Amino acid sequence: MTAVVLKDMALTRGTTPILRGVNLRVEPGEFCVFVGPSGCGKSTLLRLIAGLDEDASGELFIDGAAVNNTPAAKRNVAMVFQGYALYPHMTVEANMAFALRRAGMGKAEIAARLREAARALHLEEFLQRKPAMLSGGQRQRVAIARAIVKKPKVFLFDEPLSNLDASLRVETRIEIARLHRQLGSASMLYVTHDQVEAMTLADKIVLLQPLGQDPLAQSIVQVGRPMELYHQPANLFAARFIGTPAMNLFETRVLALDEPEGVAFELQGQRLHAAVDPAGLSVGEPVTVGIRPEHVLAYQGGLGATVTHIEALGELSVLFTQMEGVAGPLLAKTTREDLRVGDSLPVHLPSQALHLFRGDGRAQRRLRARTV
Amino acid sequence: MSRLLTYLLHGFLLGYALLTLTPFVWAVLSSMKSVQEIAVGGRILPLALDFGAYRQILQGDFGRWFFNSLSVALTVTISSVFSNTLAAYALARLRFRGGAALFQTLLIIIMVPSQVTMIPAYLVVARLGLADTHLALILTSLVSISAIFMMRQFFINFRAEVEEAAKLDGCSALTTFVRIVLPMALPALATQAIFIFMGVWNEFMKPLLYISSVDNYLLTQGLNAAAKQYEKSAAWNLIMAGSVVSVLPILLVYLGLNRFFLKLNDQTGGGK
Repeated sequence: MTAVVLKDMALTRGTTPILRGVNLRVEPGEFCVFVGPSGCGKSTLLRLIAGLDEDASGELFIDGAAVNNTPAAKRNVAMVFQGYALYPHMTVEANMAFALRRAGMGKAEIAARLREAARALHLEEFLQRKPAMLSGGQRQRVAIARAIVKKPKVFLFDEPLSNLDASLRVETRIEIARLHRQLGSASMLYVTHDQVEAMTLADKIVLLQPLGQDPLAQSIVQVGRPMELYHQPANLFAARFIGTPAMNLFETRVLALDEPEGVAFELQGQRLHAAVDPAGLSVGEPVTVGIRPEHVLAYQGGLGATVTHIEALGELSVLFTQMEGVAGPLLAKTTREDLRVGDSLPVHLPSQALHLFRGDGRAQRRLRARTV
Repeated sequence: MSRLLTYLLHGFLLGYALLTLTPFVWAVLSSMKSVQEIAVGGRILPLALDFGAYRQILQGDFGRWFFNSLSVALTVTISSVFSNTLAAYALARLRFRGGAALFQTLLIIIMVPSQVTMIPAYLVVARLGLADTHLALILTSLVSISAIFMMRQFFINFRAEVEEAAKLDGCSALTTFVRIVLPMALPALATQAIFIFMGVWNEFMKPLLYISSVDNYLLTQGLNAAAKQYEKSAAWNLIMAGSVVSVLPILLVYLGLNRFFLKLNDQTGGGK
């Protein structure tokens, strides 16, 4: 069984910090997704594990063995690249067999592995074609098949779907999820900036942030199951990054800590409550209150908002509204189709759906948040 | 308007092609005329297809000069493409101490006119006892800095992902270069080969400097010497036959490597 363990990994290029304080354990057979905005170092982290970037500090273990000084080819990992990285002068079959032949594997074993992978990825009829004769989706399947035949301990995926169109992306995503179930014991580490991919594929999400100028900032913001990150974001960065559209955030102050419905605060002249743990908070403390657009009730309540823009997505619409006396827009998801720009709405922000973040961005634990 | 532009452009290209081809066609037609026909003039086409001039030049030293040129050009092309490409790949991809300084030095050297280095190079060659040998021509043409520069740019723009995939597949830097990079660089290699072959084949100054015995002449030298000789007897058909035959290898090399050449131009033109 294979676990990937990273201890205190850090990387600086010139004077620019790329990664800092990366401590992580990926369990055997786990599907772990690195997600974060551009420049957060997620692809770099994957490349460090692959052995393609070797100048990082810290320790890296694969299957219990330190591999910091092990060449990429001996780490028993296989990588699927964003641009496929197929060898264009070789046929699909030669592409898939290349690493096995380099490793000196017998012809019969190579043929068996090729057959198995080609069947799993529906590539039997393309084996004698060259990559240029394949579509984007087929090329990506070849790239995945090339990884599978190596039977590695760890699969590394570097934004493998970003070059595909929307429908093919869904198809290939399902394919990858199916492969993960089939391949069982191998760990999969997957980099994406697309949170739908992260939410749908991951057993565990690792959310990373760009380090910027803060010398104390750590690369990893939060590690957890997808729904944990959704329901219980660790800080404002996680709250803003996970969820589409992003969470609504309002700056306010704490009015009271121990009311039955939770911590009290004021918005639009009304006393509202957030069902969060009041530990550490004090009355009068400036805080940021958040609520996801899908939890805003835009048909009842004591707050008022005016519709400024509507994005109709088909199954639902995203309402952009403005509450009088409140900075920033309030977004709400609704299935109502009768609303028009300029309409006034009653709005309710349920206490159980609210998040509360302190001045330094840390989230207060939610009391009745649903977690899966 | 756009149709008119197309016609104008095609007309211009056609005129340019005719202008370029006319001297060559003239040379081919003249090579098949007799000396008298050329002297009298007034006709474009020869009275009869007479290949006598070709037979005559092939009986003389022309064949030997042709072979000399061919062997020197092929040797230089193969060895120069090899060394330039290796150097370019190292400069583009391998991180080593002094790499940037080395590349800058090459850029400075490229700016030195060949006339400046001609005499020192000759003195070195002469002291090595290589004067009047083809080896002198080959050794002094083994490296082309402009070709290194061109190939380095090609390798810099080469998709690093493919090389990384090879690394993960167990290839060393050299194996990656030979098994993966070179086959993908064929268009660039072909372009380089065409330019180097043409350069050596058409080279006149260098052979003139290094080669002194008639037996070792390259074709350009030989044709020059023959032209002076035949000019006195106004044997323009022989001069033209020699010129036509001298163009053939370049034409063959270009036709053979044309598809790679076009492919590279297509790629650099914003294709895939």
